[in-house]
Amino acid sequence: MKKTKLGEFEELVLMTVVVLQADAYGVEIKRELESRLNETLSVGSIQSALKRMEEKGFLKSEFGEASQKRGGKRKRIYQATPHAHKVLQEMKDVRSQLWASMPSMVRS
Amino acid sequence: MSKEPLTQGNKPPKGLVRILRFFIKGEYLEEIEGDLEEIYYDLRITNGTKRANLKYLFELLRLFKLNLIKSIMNNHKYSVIGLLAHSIKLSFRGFNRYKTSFIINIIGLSTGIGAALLIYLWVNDEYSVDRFHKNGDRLYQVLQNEVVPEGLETDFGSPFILADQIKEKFPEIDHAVTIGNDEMSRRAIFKSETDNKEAQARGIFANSDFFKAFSFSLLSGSVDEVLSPENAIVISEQLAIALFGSIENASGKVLKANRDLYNDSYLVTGVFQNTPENSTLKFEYVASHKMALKHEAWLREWTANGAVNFITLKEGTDLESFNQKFKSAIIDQPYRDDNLLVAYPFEQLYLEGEFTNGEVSGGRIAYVRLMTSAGIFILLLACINFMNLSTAQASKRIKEIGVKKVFGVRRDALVFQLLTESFLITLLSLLVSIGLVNLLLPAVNQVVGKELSLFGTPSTIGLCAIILVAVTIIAGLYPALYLSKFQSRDLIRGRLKRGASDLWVRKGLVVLQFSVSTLFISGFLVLNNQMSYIRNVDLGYNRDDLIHFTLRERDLRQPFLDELNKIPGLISSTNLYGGSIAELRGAGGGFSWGNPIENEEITFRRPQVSYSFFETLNIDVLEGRAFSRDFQNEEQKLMINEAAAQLIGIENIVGKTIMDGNKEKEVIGIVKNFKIQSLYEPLQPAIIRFIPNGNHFMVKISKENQAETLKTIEDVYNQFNSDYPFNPKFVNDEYDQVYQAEGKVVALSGYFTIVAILIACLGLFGLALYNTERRTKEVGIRKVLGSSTFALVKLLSTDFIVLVIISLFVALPISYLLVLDWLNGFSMHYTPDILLYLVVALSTLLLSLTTVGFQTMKTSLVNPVQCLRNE
Repeated sequence: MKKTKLGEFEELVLMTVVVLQADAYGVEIKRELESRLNETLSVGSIQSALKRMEEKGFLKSEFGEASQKRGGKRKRIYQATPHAHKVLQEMKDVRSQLWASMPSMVRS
Repeated sequence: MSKEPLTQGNKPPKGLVRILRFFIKGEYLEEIEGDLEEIYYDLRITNGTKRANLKYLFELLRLFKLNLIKSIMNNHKYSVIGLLAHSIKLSFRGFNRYKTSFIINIIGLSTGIGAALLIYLWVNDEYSVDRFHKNGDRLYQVLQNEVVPEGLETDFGSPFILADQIKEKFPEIDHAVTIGNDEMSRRAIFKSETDNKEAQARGIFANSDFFKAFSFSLLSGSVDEVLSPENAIVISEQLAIALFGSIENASGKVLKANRDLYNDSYLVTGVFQNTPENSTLKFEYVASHKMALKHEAWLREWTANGAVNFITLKEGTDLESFNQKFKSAIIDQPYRDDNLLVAYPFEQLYLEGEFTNGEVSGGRIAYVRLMTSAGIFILLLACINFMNLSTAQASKRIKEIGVKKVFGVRRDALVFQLLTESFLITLLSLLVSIGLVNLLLPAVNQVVGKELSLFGTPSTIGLCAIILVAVTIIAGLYPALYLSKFQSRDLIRGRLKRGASDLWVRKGLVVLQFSVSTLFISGFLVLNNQMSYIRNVDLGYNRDDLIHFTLRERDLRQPFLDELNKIPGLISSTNLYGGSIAELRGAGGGFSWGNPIENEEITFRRPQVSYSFFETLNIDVLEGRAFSRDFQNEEQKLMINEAAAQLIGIENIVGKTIMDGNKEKEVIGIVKNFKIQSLYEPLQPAIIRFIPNGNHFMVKISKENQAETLKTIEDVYNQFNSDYPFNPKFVNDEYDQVYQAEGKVVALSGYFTIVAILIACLGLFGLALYNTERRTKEVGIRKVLGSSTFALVKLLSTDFIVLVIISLFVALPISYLLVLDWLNGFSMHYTPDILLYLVVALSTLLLSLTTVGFQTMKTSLVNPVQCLRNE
């Protein structure tokens, strides 16, 4: 496995970006993740994770359209890179292998 | 960036947005600001503006993530921080390039700052003495002004029974404290009967108000009760641990004391914290004053001064009007009709404790002021150095500044950069000096006998900050303004038009610097001479090879003395009351002759001595005879000194009688005047009484084998099994001890003189360095044309030497006046002569010549080819 670390929270954000596809910008990611996790997140934590992952090459981004709600500021739409897809898949595989080898007691 | 118009009310609070814009990285700003605004917009619609504002603030705070905010240094070239960073970088390049001046500056400033810091620590410590009492602002010592023919004589002692009396009489008095005086503060041996341990301690007697008026904190026992029982004793934690093993164990135990505390038993009622270093009252136990009154009847007499009394006044009492009433508090008591009481602030007594004619006339404060001004002057010297070097350096830095000016750097930015430079140098010097002070502090503590510490005084940090700012501004502002004021075209051409005023400023500074150093040198020499004068002055007695010690057990004294006189190395021995000859106490009136009413109040020194006193101390008997074993009833006879003979004025007084109290005593001899107390006081008339069995022993030993003789004396002493250890001291040392304060100041001022000279010479050296470097070409040409090295050295040095001579002319008269003023405080002082000033002048000249000559010599010896080719 490649040593570029993907933290737990980062992984969640990354998967949300993949899920949201063309809608994947800051506030929407926050909203989606909040409803799925059932807890409140801050813009700071989401943005920080996004920038970190962009730096590590999991994400790329470009400006989207502006809206009145945003006071005329443009959104930044995020997209997962192929590398990110590969890493997500690897992590899933590792996890499912581990699940498979766990004794049944824990699984139930 | 397109902005659609929005109504004002929809927007998040402006201040918060501004904060956001300030700290978020520029490239992320639009996205993040937009996100926040979107959330704000949604929330405002559902939950109202207030909630939305709160949420915005909350989100804002959560945005402080390292990867989202601007870094401090990056891409900030145009902000203040960027400018500062740039200036710092340039400064370090400058330091690197001009290493000599950098090092000279650092050495000069750090020694200067170090000296100033040390002086501050000392002064601060002096000011902290006795200032820790909570009631300090209303705590007063009761002094007595006695009416004498010369005016008023101030006495620190007062009667033992005064406190209770005045407390009753004056409603303004809150607490009145009696503390036994020096004589009543005894070193005693205590035995704890329960724990069977023994310890020696020196302490005081005091009445029950003691712990209420003074803030000596009690570790056990209550302030109101500890000194109430007659046999109460409160002991220090150290003594408690020595006697009982712990503080808790001590309370309620019984202590048995030896004969110095009347062989009585005492009840430990409390334990107090060891007395602090900065307290003039130092004691290891406090016993109830009732015990002293019980055992010593004389303490009840109004005629006796057995105590020092203190009072605290109720809050809001006016001291002036209180003293008006207080003055005559005891004049109706027997023999006290011309003793005027006065309440004097206790906190001030340590620094301002000398009185003439009832008015404060100084005290240690003189030394504190002397040191403070020395510190300020040294710091100033260091600043001047820096100024001089920086301006002299101008010619070298001109191109750098010129290029900057051409590129449009504004003058204020230049000043800022140059100030940064001086700030950095000051900061570095400060750090160096802190290290230096830390290193030197143990040695300094030994000299001044204090426990100073750099980190123990929180105010040092404040002082460091003040020094940092003050030195930066004083030393840096003038050079900064000076260097930045030139026109850019002159700068680039390297042609510097220096106005006459600049030259004057620089010369003036050198003169100032050398004047101050000359003041230091002459001050130190005078101080030193005066001290050695005091040490060597003819005191009327010979204190060489004289040993002093005590034997407390009265019954042992005579047999001990007999045994002592058998020792071969011993020339002569005697014993007396009142202390060593170096610090003899005891003065008073009570003598009368002719018309008793007129002269009973005249104060005489009253030494009480035994046989061989005059012989041991080599005091000449001028007329009559000394006390001798060949005669009977010597107690009924008196001896007087010349001054007393003159004062009494009876012709051929030897053989006649005068009254000592109500006893008629015969005057058997007149001795030469000899000094009995501080040299500050004029020679005083003395009447010498005879008392055998004094507790203080003075022994003259021969010069050979002194160590052996001392050992033999100790052996003899030990044969007598005294409760106290043998404590011999050379009278010469004791004598120096009396003048310790001056001695310390002399030692300190010696060091600071060296610092001042060092700084001044460094400054001169730096100036000479630049001046000669600037004139290398001139020197080369002159050499080619056949000038001799000597002529060149003369040429290059003359300017400086003239300056030094001017400063000598300025400083010497000033120092003469200052010194004369200081010396007048001594009753015996030496007169500074022309020789001293010649020495000062010559040494200053010599020093400056060497400093300058070294540099000019180096330049003059350079091969002219080298300096001329250098283009």
